[in-house]
Amino acid sequence: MKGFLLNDLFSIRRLLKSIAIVYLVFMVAWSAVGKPQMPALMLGIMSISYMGNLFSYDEFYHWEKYQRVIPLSVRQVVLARYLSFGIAALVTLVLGLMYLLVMRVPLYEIGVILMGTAAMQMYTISVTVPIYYKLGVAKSRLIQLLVMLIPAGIFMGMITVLRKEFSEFTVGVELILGGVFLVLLIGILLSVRISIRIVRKKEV
Amino acid sequence: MVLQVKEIHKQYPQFLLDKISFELPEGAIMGLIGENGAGKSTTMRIILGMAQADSGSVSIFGHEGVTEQDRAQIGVVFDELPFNQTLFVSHLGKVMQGIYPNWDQQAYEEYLVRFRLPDKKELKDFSRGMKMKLSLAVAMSHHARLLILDEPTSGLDPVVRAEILDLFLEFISDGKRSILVSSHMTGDLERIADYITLIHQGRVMLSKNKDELIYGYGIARADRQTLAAVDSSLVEAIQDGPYGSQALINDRVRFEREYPDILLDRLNLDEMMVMLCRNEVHRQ
Amino acid sequence: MNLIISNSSGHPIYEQITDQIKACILSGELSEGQALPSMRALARDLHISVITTKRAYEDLERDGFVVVVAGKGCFVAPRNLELMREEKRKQVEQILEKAVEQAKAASISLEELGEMLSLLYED
Repeated sequence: MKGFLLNDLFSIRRLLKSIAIVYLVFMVAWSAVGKPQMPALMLGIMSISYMGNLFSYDEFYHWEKYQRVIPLSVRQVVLARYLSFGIAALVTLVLGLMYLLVMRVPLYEIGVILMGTAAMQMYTISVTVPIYYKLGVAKSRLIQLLVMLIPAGIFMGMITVLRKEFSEFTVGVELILGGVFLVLLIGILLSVRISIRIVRKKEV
Repeated sequence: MVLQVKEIHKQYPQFLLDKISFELPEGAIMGLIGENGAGKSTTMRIILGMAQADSGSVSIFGHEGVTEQDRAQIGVVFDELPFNQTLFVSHLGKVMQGIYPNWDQQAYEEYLVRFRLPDKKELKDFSRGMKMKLSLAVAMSHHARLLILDEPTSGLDPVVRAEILDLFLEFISDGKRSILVSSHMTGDLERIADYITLIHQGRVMLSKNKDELIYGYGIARADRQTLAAVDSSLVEAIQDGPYGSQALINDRVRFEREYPDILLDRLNLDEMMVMLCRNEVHRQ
Repeated sequence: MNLIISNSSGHPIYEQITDQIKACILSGELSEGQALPSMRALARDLHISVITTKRAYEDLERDGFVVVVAGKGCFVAPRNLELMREEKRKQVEQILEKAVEQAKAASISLEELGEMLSLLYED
């Protein structure tokens, strides 16, 4: 499984430069306009979208052919891909955190923004990875966009509400957040199972 | 037997793989020949577990089915490099190290040097010959006992092909490792293969010891009447032309004894294939 | 030892190998008890299939020229005068066969041929 993670990491190395540049531009632009919460959120979503390129590479180079003849189970192969996405999500959260700290955003707000971003990432991964496996990259991009718009609105709304209505984590807020993340976690586990089933059915 | 294919049967919408059977002994090289679309690649995919047969079985390393431990001992080479080609050879080595339990990084690096495959260069910038040599380097660097190769030498110049054929002979030189290779390069197979299996329209037409085939069969050439008069138990197929005919003979010794005056040429795999596979040829 | 193999002659490669190794043994170039290269090493060095060298060694063993010791390899068999004489006889017979073929083609009679043979023998 480690091999697959490394494969994803090496494949992405070129994109990292582009992402870094885009992120810098965002940071400068949004902080100039006085909305420092935007870059962290955007980077969080962008990175997941960029990770879709991993599926493009797989398709273009017919990596799935090789996946069938190596000593790894379908489960391990699929898990490795989710792990890659997870690592990307984590890295962007950390970068977002560092940025928000530097911009002296209040801790509560940082918490809300990062949690919103994490929630958004978890949701996106759960929904789009199986779609990539099932339909391939070309068809998925459009669906991905549609699939993300509504929840994007919801999560953004959630973040806005949490920021406006509250200024600290009350028990009520914590319970709600806990519930939301539990659901998201279950969503990811379901997503993994569905993906494994999709890949197993495919004949190469 | 390191590989036994038993009556593999699979119905596709436009194609039928019809009870394919053959065996590969340990320490041997088997060449799989046949027209494009005859079923060679499909058979290999079923052997590797990439596709499922409707019936029949495949035994590898003495047991049915392919387990993960088996896969660790099977090296595969496809006709295209199935790796992300933005990687360098060093990246690929690390990836493989994390996939194969018996990955031999030192062997891999030795192959890279031997094949003059440079690092810090994206795989997509490699020539076709270099890509093929890289595929082989990977397939031979994890202590595989069985190599399965799908058209590894097509499109390569004779110099590179000779290098690769020598590699195959080296691979089997310990007597414990085997190779199944499908190829159109029948000349190469005539030289280094131990066994030849011909697949035509989803069926095995023959599967034999190469020397018994090359020296036991022959191509008789004469006018149509003369060949028509030859005992049909000797004749596998006849092809008529405007200036004469030729027949695929299955017993050279007997033919030379019974028909010493008819020209009998040494068998050439290409000609044999044409005679057994072309539609206008009469098969007996 | 030199092994010169022709790809295009009708003569099977395993026979060419067998014949040449026999010649080496008869001429003494390969001595009694000497180890022959393993059939796999030979295949590799001649760039041919193992099944061919295997057949060559099997034929050599069948004809009594070598002994295969399981696990150790292939060794030149002890000098067997009978065997060697027999082999030489076969070779002479092959040459005579060719002479007869050519004589027939040139319409030379058996008597003429016999005379030629006597003359040559006495030289």
